[in-house]
Amino acid sequence: MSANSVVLSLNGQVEVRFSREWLEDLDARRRQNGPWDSWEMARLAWEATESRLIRRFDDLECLPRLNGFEPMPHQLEAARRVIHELGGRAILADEVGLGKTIEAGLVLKEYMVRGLVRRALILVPASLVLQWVRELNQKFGIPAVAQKKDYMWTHYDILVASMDTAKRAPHRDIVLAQDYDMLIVDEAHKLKNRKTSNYRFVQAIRKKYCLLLTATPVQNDMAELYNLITMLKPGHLGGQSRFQADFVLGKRRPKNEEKLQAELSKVMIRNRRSDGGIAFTKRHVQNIPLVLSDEEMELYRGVTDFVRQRCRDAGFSSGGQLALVTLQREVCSSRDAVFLTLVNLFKKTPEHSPYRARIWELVNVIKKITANTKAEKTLQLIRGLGEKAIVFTEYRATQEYLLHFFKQHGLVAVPYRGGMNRGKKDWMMDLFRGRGEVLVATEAGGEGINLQFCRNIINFDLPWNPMRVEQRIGRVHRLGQERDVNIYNLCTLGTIEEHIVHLLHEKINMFEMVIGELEAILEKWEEDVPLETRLSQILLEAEDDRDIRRRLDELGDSFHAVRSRLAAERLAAGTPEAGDRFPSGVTR
Amino acid sequence: MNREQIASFCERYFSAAGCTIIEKTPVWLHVKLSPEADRELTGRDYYWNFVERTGAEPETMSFKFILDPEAYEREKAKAAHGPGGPSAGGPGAGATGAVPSVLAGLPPVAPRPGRTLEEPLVFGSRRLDQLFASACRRGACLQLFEEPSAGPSPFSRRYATWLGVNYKISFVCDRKREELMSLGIHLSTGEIADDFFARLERRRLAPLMPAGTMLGETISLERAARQLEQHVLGRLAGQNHDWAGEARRRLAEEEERVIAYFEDRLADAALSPEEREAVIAQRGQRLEEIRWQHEPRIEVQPVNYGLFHLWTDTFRPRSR
Repeated sequence: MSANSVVLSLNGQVEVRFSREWLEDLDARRRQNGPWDSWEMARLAWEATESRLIRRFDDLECLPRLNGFEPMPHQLEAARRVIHELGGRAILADEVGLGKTIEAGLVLKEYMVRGLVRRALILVPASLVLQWVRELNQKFGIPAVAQKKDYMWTHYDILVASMDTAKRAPHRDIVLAQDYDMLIVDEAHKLKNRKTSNYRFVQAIRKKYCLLLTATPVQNDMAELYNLITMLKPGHLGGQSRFQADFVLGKRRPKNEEKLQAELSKVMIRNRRSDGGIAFTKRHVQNIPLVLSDEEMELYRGVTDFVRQRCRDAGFSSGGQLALVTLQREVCSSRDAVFLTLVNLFKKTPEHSPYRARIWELVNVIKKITANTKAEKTLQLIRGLGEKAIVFTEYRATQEYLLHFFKQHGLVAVPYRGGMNRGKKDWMMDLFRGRGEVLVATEAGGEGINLQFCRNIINFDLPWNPMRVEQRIGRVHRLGQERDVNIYNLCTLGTIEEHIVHLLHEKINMFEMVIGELEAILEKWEEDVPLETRLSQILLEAEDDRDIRRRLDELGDSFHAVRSRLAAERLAAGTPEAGDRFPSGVTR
Repeated sequence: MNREQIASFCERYFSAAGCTIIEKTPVWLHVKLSPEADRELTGRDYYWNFVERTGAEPETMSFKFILDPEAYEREKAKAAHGPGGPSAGGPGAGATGAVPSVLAGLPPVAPRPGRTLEEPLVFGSRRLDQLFASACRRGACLQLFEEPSAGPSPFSRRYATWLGVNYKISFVCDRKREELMSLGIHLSTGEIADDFFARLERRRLAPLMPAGTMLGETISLERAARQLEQHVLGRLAGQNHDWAGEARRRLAEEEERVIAYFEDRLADAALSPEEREAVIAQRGQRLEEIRWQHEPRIEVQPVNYGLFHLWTDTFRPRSR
């Protein structure tokens, strides 16, 4: 009868497309005398359409559609700006922990509600795929699916995939053959070099709207910032040469900063903790010193002598060093932890080795120990708090012991481990939130664990990697925590633990630092040798306790040197704020 | 829609779809689906295939739709802490605790055919969106006759036939807003009435033609549709379209930038022919993307439409 649609021009200004499919439908039904739809259903259809109508260009229509979840004001503001001022192409560069994922979810949801996005692709590191799927479904009711099989690329509208999978054959060609209404890339600082396969791949994907998420957009290099923005909007900062001439003074030093910031604010949103309106509660850090019982101290000395002896015998270059230091660290945690390692060591030691007898002697020393000083102190501490607490330990054996110990003393203790599957983790979380009094955890890293309902952390022993310590704290000290957070570090006097707590707490002062800052300093400071390795080296090589203390102090001093150098660079660049040199685009 | 409106919408929807409402409270709505609704809403294609092939008696699903999840949680908590005993049960008892009523030694409340699922039904939920979409699908195309009034009609027994169309108009660029427009056109005189749907609401309409009536019309459906489209266009012309001008300005700005940027890159004499080709392809892709993103346009789509045979020959313009 006629074409499916008719296009007319409105004053030569805008095209108006009228759908005509209905006319065929009506005509056919009239000729066949039906079937006709019901009057009541038609009224319901009209009411449904009215209730979902997008009445204005600039509201956030997704808000009344979110159930059981309320975004923070700075997240709403970010979503509003991305959609209504930046046209849906933006770098979301909030500092860690301010909810970039939430902002991206809000933007995606809003476009979906408005019917401007139907198909979206979300590229993330493999370890974050499930977390993204869960957040989009639970918080936003977005039917996102994790890409697992080839056919899924074309069968699902909202797909979360790992960047590494997507860019490989045969997936690459399928992805590049699609049109995506929206592309989201998490951890986008991996796109800063435009010669990499990641960069070229993302550039080649056909997309209408695009969000790049990164917490460290300008960490290293002005050229990297340029590349990221050019990926999003080629030409926004001009050609490479004009950018160099207009905005770059040195590798890390911008010029014409006001103008640069004005340009940046058209493509980037960066909220910082120091901005008003984002309230974080305080951290109270307290070291709990304790004296080991005579039997425990005997074991500690025995293990220490054994470790030193073996190292001297083997020469310092041996690869088994770390394992030996682990023994020493385990003694400070619990006899159970060290016992297991000793037994394994015994099995691996050749039958006629003189070490075998030594190891057996140590095992006998363990048998004499009847009480765990640290565990008793912890119990006392928790009872004194009268609130829920999370106890972190590095060792499975310690975890088992503590669970048993707490139960014996009438506390409802819940385990949490990295090896548990998602369902079990969620279940443990629920138990702890409900009846649980103490959570005994070996893992803090895991994704999406939010424990804001608790505000007490007890570090039964400390990881030697400061970022892992920070991750532990980050589980409770995050947005949504309404009370001050208490952090207790147990510290056995006269052991290596005392040295480590001294270094992390007194020298580095890491417990009071914001996450972004610690990360930036560590990146510069550690270079290729992680702190953990350096610590082992010092502990094994040092002559005595005084020597250890001296070397650790040196280490702490070098940390502070890096910290002040970074601060001076920021000052020279004219931005005395922590974090980076560029103020956020958000004006407050 | 607020909670009451959603409750009333759903109740009317399920009735119109031939479902049985088993229980209704301000907090929840317990519904047993009709076979058609089950096919449309539960995604059990496999099951329905099975029923069709074997001729087995179909068992449709039941839903307990929670309209007020917070109140429901409160009720559940109260029931869990309140005094136990058989009377604490009720149709929803199986869901309140982990122990099914059978295991708890309670007699089953009623033989429950099929399964009952519990599900929140609130604004923004996928289920409500599904009901909205279903209503639009099942309430698209109409033919209705006005019932004769009791008194003598001032007009002949000839119906005036109107084509009614409810349009949704979308104003789209990188942003979007929508408007509704309900129009009717008299298929003999060509008179066009605004707010047509609202006027129909005041009449008694039935799907069957009363006996002894005649239909007559002189304007073809296609011509009528064209006239309605012109009418929409005229009304749109009276509106402010700064949004489109601004979108065009953004588009032009962006195009200028992209072209300048790629000119700069193509000016690089060190580019190999392959590289040059790749840069040109990139430019083409980017220009397409920004048009896709910003190009202003208006889309007009009917929500529903139909033939309405009314006794009144004309709608007098309402005085405002």
